Parts: sequence; structure tokens; C-alpha cells
Amino acid sequence: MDLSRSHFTMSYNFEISNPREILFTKNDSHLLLVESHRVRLIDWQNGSEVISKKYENEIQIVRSSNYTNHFGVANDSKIEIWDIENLKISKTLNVKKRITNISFSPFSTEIVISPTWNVLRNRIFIFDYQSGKEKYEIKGKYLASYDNVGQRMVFWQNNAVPGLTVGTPVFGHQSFDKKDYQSLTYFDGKQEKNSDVGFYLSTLHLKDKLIGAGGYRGFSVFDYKKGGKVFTTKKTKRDRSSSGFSAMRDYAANAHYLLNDDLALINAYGDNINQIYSATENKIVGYIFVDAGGDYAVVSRDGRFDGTPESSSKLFWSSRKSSKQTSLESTFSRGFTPGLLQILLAGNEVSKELVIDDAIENVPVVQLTKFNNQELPTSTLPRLESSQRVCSVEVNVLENNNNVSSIKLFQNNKLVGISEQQSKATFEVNLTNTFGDENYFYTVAISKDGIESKKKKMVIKYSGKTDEKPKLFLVSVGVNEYKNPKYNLNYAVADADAFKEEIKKGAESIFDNIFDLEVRNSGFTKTKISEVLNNVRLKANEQDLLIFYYAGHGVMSEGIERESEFFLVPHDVTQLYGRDEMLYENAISAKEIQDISKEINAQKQIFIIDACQSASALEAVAQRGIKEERAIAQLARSTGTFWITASGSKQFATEFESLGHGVFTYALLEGLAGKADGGNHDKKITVKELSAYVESRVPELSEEYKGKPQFPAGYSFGNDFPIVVYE
Amino acid sequence: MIRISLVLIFYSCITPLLVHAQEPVVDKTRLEYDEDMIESFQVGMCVSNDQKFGVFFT
Repeated sequence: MDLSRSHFTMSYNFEISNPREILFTKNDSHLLLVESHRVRLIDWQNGSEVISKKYENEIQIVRSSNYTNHFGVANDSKIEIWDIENLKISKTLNVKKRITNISFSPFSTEIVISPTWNVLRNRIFIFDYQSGKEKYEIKGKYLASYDNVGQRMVFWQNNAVPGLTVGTPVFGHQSFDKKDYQSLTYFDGKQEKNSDVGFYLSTLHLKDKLIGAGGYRGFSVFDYKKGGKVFTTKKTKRDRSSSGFSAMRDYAANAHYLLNDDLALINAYGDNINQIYSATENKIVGYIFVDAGGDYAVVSRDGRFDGTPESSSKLFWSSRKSSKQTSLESTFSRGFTPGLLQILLAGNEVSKELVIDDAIENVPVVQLTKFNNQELPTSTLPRLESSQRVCSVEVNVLENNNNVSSIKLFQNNKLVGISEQQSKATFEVNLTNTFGDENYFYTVAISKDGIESKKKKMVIKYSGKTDEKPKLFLVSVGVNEYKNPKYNLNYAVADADAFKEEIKKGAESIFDNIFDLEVRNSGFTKTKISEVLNNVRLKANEQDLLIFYYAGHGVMSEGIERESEFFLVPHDVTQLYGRDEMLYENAISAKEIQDISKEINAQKQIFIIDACQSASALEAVAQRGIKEERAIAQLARSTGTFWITASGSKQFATEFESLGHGVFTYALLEGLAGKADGGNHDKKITVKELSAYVESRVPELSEEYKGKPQFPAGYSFGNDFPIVVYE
Repeated sequence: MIRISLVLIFYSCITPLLVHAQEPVVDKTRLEYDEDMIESFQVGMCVSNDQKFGVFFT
């Protein structure tokens, strides 16, 4: 994964048994993959195996030197020093003891070797790995490692401070350059006689601090200057990792790396969450979550989120002190923030920390109480049946109702009702067999500080009259000519025309009727678009599909009087920036789109916004782009609809004469013509397939034509369904 | 005079204890994941100098 872009860039599959560790070698030239009995050196640029060596006995530990082109493999009481340039073993160090830890000195050819802990005779050995000879040993210490800046060695020793009980482990360090191993400087040994997180198995120097990562997925931080421990996660309540690295198995091996001169990334074996610690702020500022399927999430400590939609459903907040938990989705409205990792890396944003124990105190609790005036059972997922199409659903807020800002009801993942009542709301719904007989409902209440209650769900089987064949409402908007000619665009109308034709061609066999609702240039006014969408509202039923395609300008208001919002810009808006009142009066806001979407009964809705056209006419501002993406993602989620978007600030180059279209719409057209058909190649293109194709194709096209990849965004919170069939 | 000396002795004894008594910041909230929903466990990671993030899954 490229952290600067928050995207997985490469993925390799190897037949691996008992995976242990992954390491970059010096200059990041190769990756070392360590299994229990095999070490592989991989050229990560092309995935080829450069070295693959099998060991008869279990490997104890593998470490790479950041100073020379070597790595060491501890196995069977000896250490093989591999030379990466010549791809061979350059030296073998005979330690004659089972080894727990090895550490290369950053600025010399020394290696410190820690044999397995021994209650009576602990010692560490310093070897010169160029000559292969032991230089000296230091008694009484164990689990030693060099820090990453070449100043200190850190280690454990027992009973090192007078007054402590015999055998009490003490964590310490000493100046490395003096090599004065008798004069120890403790991190206040009294405090550290009992570690909060188990033995520190690896350490990292960061500014004036030393991070000690222990077992149990925890870590502590010491301050060299102030002395003493300044931060700790303590041990987590969860069980420690079930397996770990070799001799350290009982504690679970940890890894940690510098992200920059203030942030460290800390992980424990078997844990998919990587914690980001800031030395300046002396706290965890965020997390990177990854999963093998390509899901990732960056989550800041105040609840902001960036990542794949699927990842958010896998994550939750928990209290370290109590058993309280709340889903990550519950804090989603606090801030979907595209580019969040870059914001965290820049370290310039002060944020309010989410304290889950406090937040949970105020989260509302909802219950689906009645369906068609009939009391619902309190089971986790009540199931009922109805032949009646129009039905009523009652929702009650059981706890914290004075903190409720709204109650929402979703049907088949699409928002169908919002109430601003605080205690009880009744919604009218239409049952359908759009997605089969079963209608899946859920309700949530949202607190005033933006935390969502746990979802309450039910399934209603519809046994009434079958829906008619679906209709397609195809609203295509393209604006080249603006009243203020400086905003004129080149390809918006051509894009809207081509998109409309491609959809019509492929949708004929799926839909009973296609309503072609075309809006172009001066025809795009707030009044006109309201008229068109109101027409859809009157005609559309649950089983129908609305596709709203827009090619034109999209802007964020400056948000001086009201909160900043995303707007589609009609023909008669003559100033995009500095005149919010003009946007409020003449443009179409995200909130208005949400209201329209909710009012339209069609449960399948796709909004495709090609506002990247703006880049050719406007000065792009990075921050604006993040706000736009966030507004659109929140809109998709709040309405349960599909959004495929490219926003203006990404500086999409649109004027590719050879393509004849903007790059975003060009990719859409390719996808609809058949290239997006994934999986079983069933000749149907579903909305998720189209979204996935555009997300992968636009970076390729933009790189090919402009030399730099650019990324559109797809947000899907509804059910998947086919939109066209191709020949 | 005696009183002042006693106070100074007391102060010099208690000051280190006060420094040591300073508690570290303890993290209160943790982000976790549903183990039943993930495809594979992360068993290793590394970060390169140019911020490439390598992840090893089971």
C-alpha cells in the first residue's frame, strides 16, 4: 500500500506456511518474507523470489540491517548473515545458544545477540558480523536491541536497582557511543518494575521518546528528558495473539516503524489494526486497518474515517476500561474524510478526541415497536409477512431521547423516512418485491453530536400483488454553456449525450419503459431540475430505477453563514466563489438532493456526478476537494444510494481530444459497453461492477494521457443490481 | 533555623517521589475489528523510507 495515496498498489500471493514476519531491506530494495521454516527475499517491484531457503529447524528471528546490505537469520544456535548484493551467506556467527533476539547496530557492523532468557545467567553478546567474531559479552542483561538512531542500547535486566525484589525485571538503556556498559541510566526503574504491557520486545526512538512495544497488543512510551513513562495503552482486555514469533511466541512479536519524525506506526502479530502514535501530542492519533481482500481504513482518534465502505462495517470502538462498544459506522457522520492519512501525517490539525465511555453515555437506543399497529417481538431480527402494500412502521427511542436529533428508517438499505421527533416516529412504507419477496428494514436514531444508535432491524415478507416490470428514469444533465462564459466547458454535453445513448442501448431489455429526461445548457436551472425530478417522484414506484447523470460544475459553498455544502451549479449561477447566497438561491445543494432522493419511491437510485470538468476552468484547491468527497460520501450513505463521482479539485484533465470525452465519462462508457463485466461474465453490468471498473480504469487513463494517475470515488450503500445488458 | 532545615530535608525527600508519582497518560479507547468478518489476519508489516506499507497476511 502506498501510504501517500492510501491505495493498495500491489498484491502478491505465495504458498506460505506459518507466516511470521515481513521486512523491508536496506534502501527498500527487497522484502523479506519469513515463515517458520523458510526465508524468502522478494524483489517487491515485480514480485519475483530472489532467495528462498528452507530450514530444517524452526527459525528463531530474522532482522535486516538498515546500514549495510545484510540480513541475519537466527536458526539452530547460529546466525547466518546474508549478503543481499551477492545473494549468499557471507558469515555464520556461532552463538551456541538458543537465540531470542538479534539487532543490527545502525551505524556500525555490530550485532547484539540475546540468547533465550535464563533465570540465573542472562547475558548478551556483541558480534562483529563482518569478521564473524564475538567482540564481548555483557552479563545480566537480556532482550537487548539498538535504537534506530545509533545512540542507545535498550535491554532488560533483573534486580538492577537497589531495593527492588530479587528477580524483578527492569527495563533500561545506556549510552551506546560511550560503550560504558556499567553506568546504566534507567527510565526510573522504580516505575518500570512492572510493565503495563509485558516485556518490551522491540523499541523505537522518536524525538526524545522511546517506544517499547510489548505483548498483548500494547505499548508504552518513555521520555528520555523528563524521565519515566509518559504513555501506555496497558494490556488490552482481549486475549493476546494466539501465535507469535518463535521464542517470543508467548508475548506476540511487535513491529513498529517511523512514518515521519513525529509519528510511529505500531503493530502486534495477528492484529489487523496498526496504531499511529504522535510523540508531540503524546497520544494515539489514529489507526490504519487492513484486510487481505483490499479493504483498508484510516481512522483518526476523533472518529474521522477514510477507506473502503466495506471496512467500516468490520470496525468498532471499544473502551479499554469497560465492556462498552459502538460501531465505527455510528461515528461515520463525524467525518468521512478522504485523504485523512495525509492530514494525520501533516500533523497540523487539532482534533477533539473521541472518548468512547463518554460518547456511549449519550447514544440513543431505538426499537422497532409496531408494524401495521401490531406489536413487534423484541427478538434481534423479527420476521413478519404482509400482503398489504402500504404499511406503517413505528419506532420508539428507549434511551437518551432528549439527545436525539433525528430518527431514520431504511428499506432495502435506501432511506425512506426521516423524523425530527425525539421519542417516537411513525413511517408509511410501500412493500415491494424489487429485491425478492423480503423487504429488509432498519432504523437508527442520531444523537445531537452525530453518533448513531445501534441499528434495529426487521424483515417483512411481501406476499401481495407482484410489482410491474420496472421503468427506468434517466435524467441526464450536461452543461457546456454558462451564463457567465468564463465557466464554459467543452465536453459536458458530449459526455451527457454519449452516456444517455449507451444506457438506453443496454437498458431496453431490462426495463418496461425508459423515460429519457434530458437537460442541457441553459435548460439547467433550479426550477427546471425540480420540475423534472418532481415528475419522477410522481411516476416512480419501488421497483423502478433512477439514474441521475450530471456533467458540469460542482462546488462547495464557503459556509460562512451556514455549514459548507456541495452544490450542482446550474446555468444561471454567475459566480461560483464568494457569493454563497447565489448558490443558496440558484444552485442545487446536497441536502436538496437528499430530500428529493428520499421522496422518490424508486429503491434503486444511481447518481453519477462528473464535476471534474471544473478543473479546466477553475483554480483547484485541495481542501475543497476533500470537502466535496466527504459531502458526497455522506450523501450516499445518508440516502442509501449509489454515487460514482469525480470532483473538480482533483484536477482531472478532461480535454483529451483523442478520447473525445472527459476521462471519467470515457471510462464509464467503456464499462457500460461490456468491459466492466466481471466475475461470471453474465453479459450484465451491475452498478457495483461499473463503479469498480471506473475506479480502476480512470487512474490508468489519466496516467496514460497526463502522466499522473487520478482517482475517482465510488460510494455504494445500496443493494447491487444490473443496469444494462450488452451484446 | 531548625524548622527551616527540617522543611528543606522534607522537601528534598518528597520531591523525587512527587516526580515519580506522575502517572503516564493511559489510552482509554481502542479501535477493534470483528474477527469473524475479516478475510485474513495481519501477521507482519513494514514501512519503507518512501512510505510504502507492506503487509503480510495469513
